[in-house]
Amino acid sequence: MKFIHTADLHLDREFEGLVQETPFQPYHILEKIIDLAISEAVEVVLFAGDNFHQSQPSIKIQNYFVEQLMRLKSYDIQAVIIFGNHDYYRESVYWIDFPDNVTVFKSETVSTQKLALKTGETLAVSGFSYQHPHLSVNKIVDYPERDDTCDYHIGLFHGEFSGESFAPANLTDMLAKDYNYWALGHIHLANQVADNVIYPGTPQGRNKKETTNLVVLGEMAPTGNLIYFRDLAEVHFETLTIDLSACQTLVQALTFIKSNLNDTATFYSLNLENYEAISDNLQEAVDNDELLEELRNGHVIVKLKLIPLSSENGEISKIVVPDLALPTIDLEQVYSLLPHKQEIRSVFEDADFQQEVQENLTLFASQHFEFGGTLNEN
Amino acid sequence: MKIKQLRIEGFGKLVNQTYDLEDFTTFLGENEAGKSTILAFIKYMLFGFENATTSNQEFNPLNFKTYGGQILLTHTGKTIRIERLKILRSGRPSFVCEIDDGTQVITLDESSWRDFIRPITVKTFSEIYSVTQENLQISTVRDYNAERLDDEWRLSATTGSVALFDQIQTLSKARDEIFTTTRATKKPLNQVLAEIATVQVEIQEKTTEEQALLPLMTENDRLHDEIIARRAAQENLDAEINQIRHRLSFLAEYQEYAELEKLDLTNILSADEAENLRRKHALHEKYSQEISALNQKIAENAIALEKLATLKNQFLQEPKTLDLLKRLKADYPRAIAAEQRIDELKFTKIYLIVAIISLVFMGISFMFNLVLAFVFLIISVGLGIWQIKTSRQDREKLNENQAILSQFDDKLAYFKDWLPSESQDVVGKVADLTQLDEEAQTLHLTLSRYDQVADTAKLSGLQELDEAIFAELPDIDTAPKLLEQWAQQSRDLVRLTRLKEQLSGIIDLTKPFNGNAEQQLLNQKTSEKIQKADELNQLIDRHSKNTAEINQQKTDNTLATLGAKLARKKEELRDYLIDFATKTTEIALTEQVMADLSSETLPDILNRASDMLAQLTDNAWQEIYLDKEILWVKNVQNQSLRLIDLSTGTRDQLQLALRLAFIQSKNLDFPIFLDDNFLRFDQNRRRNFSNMLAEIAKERQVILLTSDQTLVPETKGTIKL
Repeated sequence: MKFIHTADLHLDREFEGLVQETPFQPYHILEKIIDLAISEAVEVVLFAGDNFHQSQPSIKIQNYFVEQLMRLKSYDIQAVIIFGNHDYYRESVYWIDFPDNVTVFKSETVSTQKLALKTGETLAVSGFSYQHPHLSVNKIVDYPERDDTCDYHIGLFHGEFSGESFAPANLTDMLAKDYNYWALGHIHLANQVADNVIYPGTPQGRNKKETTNLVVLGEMAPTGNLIYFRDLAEVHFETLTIDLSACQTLVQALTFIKSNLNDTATFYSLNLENYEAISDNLQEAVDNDELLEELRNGHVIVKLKLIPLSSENGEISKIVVPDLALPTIDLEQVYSLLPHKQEIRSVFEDADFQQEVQENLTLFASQHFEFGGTLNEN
Repeated sequence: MKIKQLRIEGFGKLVNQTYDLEDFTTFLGENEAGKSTILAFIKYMLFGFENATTSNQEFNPLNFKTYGGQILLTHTGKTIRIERLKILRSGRPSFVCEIDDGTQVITLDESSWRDFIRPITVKTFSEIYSVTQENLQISTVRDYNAERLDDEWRLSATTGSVALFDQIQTLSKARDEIFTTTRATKKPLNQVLAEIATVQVEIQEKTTEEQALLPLMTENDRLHDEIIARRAAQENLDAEINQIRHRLSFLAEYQEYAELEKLDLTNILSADEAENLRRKHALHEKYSQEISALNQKIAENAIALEKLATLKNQFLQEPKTLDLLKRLKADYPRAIAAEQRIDELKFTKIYLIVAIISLVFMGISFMFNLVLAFVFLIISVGLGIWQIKTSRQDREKLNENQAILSQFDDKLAYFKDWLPSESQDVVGKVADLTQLDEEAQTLHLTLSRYDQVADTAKLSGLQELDEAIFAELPDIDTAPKLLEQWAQQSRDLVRLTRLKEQLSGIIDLTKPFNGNAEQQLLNQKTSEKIQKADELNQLIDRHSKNTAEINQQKTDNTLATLGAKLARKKEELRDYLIDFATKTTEIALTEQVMADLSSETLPDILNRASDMLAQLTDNAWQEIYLDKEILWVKNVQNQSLRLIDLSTGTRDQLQLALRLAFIQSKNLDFPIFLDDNFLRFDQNRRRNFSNMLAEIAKERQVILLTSDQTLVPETKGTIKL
């Protein structure tokens, strides 16, 4: 039996970190997955939750989801769906009728559905859907033992192995069920927890941290499973560190940077280093966004950062502050200066934001001060 | 560290110059004599030539190809030689650094040398250890205000320069570019927030619009079902109407059927009877015709017979006549022969004629031949004699024949009234008789033809047969009509059966079929159909309209586009916030550093500065102190003034005192360079300044660059440029 296992499609979630418009639509990943299902002639496609990003997905995106699932029908391919913490199931929100080739778990209680596959084999799928954005109980204990009347038994689970909010599970419980496969969702980076216990991760990364972009294409046999990972993503985030030591002018640097950007379907985060020869001009071009604008003309650039020059430290006189250590930042104080808006609040609560500000400050401090007289300038 | 010697091979206007420096060295020169060049040369030798920027002029020698030179230093008993040389327009300058500690010479590369000289850098050299009018001047902002000036002074006092202050100013300015207050709507942060709000409103509107579609969808589902139901009803109605139409199309047939049903179709004749009747009638017809034909014939014959009843025909018919004619016929040849012989006898005188002719010839021949005349005479005589002999015989015969003829004529006299011609000769008379005989025979034939007996017999026979038919079927004459009726009835029966067969599947024949009622039903159903069709079309219209609206939403990218836009705007907001937060924390950190330095190192610096200021101003100003973050200066009258209230010259002296105090308190072994920084000092205070430098030079090399001769101490170490 061939199958595809995907999860965390977050169809209506936009790319993050972009200030540019792009022609790419992240939800197109579903078409790619369906294409793969058809071309590989799989028997079943498993969706392990968080198909939608918003708890109230738009009509268009729901319609799109169903349309794509309908495509499977003419190829006799079945789909099995659970809902995760993002798209937790409520009758009133999902107005769509799923086609009859789709098995949907709507209840928060674990249940088992038996599927007759086009190969003539039978498949038991056990799973549950979220009906609330959080779920603090261990659901794995509710999963039944392996159904020996069926050829295969798959566990469909959206949740994590730690924490408290998302159906905390443990691997031992899972393996004890003796299922052929555990199709997991919730974690956005691919992770093969055990041979047959897999998080495929989100098939289309939405920010520079979601770098795996995979779906599982598996083949199940009584003797064991063959597991392949496929990257179907239309767009990839990539962080490039570019050494500009060979560039003597800003124009050369620009040309050189551009020569490194060879894919228009890649969203780049750029770190520039070793730019001693053009330090002042480059710093200026970065500060007034000229370089970024030039590069964004033709490419999608998420971030552009200058990595501090190692020798630069020597050029700047640092103020020795013997009795002071680098203080922790007080973002609350910063926030108090700003309009008290939810959008700003949520940015300030983002750990990445806090870290980035901290890094910036640390860099600034290292360029200007010597705290406690002990900080090594190098 | 002290500078012992400068060897300039080429630097600006100075070429091939060597200067030996003392602990207190004064470079004395007019404007443009090269004082600043000396300072620049020292900086270059120590820290390398900076990249040419607007703030650094190049000191390329004007007419000399070698650029650079050497500097000799002493430091903690070591001798250091640094050489930087560059052949003009030929690549990077060379660098040599040798440190001789008396036992060995160590060579350093550029970065090792910089590590060696640390923490002095080109920046500290330029901003702190080089004391110039420019870098003492607290003049980054033209409009002084007290707080600002206080800040600058304090900073200058604590860090040796106003760099940190400037940094805060720059950072604050950059931060204020992003956001100040919510009222500053042009600031990018406010703009992004406004844009986000706009997009959110748009998304909200669009979402509300979508929510409004949900009841529409429910309605459409219901409409869909209703349309299907109504379509089915419509089809039923159509079928019904077609059935009625079908029935109605058989109305004529039904009416015929109904008419036939009404008729009494009990049989008037059996088939055998009909056949008999038909046959007998045919015979009767035949007999009638024959009888009438016979009657007519008999009547015609009677007429014809009447016409034949003439006297002649009666005469001819008499048996005596017929008998006589029969007998006369046998006498014809004898009579004819007798008359012939009579004629023959009358005409036998041929010999006499020939005898006369011979006498004529005897007369003619006598004239010339007598013999011949004689011959002829004999012939004529002989013939005359022969003639006389025959004539006697014929007379007898003639009489005999005349008797026969007269006998014949007697017999003929009976017919004399009816002979057609009055012929005298026998042949003529025979011909008349023959004709008469023929007439008689013809008459006989004719009469036999009109013989009525057979016909009359036949007629009575026929009449007898006909009578028999009549006896059997008295109303035989009405048979055709009866038969016609019977045939019609038979046809009607067949038709009825056929119609019944045909109609039984279509019309319920057990009940009367009312065409009008049916037509009415048809009309009613048809109008119902039209009405229902109208209603259905309205439903379909509404459904399509709804569907279009829903489909538009289904394919509407607006929400996705808005979502993407919101994500981008949020990212912009995040970028601005990072910038803003970074700058704010940097400012906070810098201020923290300033505050810390103020509290830790400021008292010492202020003490030193107070002493120096007192020395410079002849105790006119005695103490510099910090009170509530504000710098105050106390004078000899025990008055405290804020810095803003000081005179320009005093402010310069205060700033110099703070700078020197800072350098002294840092206690780094590095020379002080002073470049005409005392221009606003009066003569007295210049002297005090000079004395103070001499004092300092005991611990630290002082290098003074000036055009003021009066400042030059009476010691060695003055170099005239």
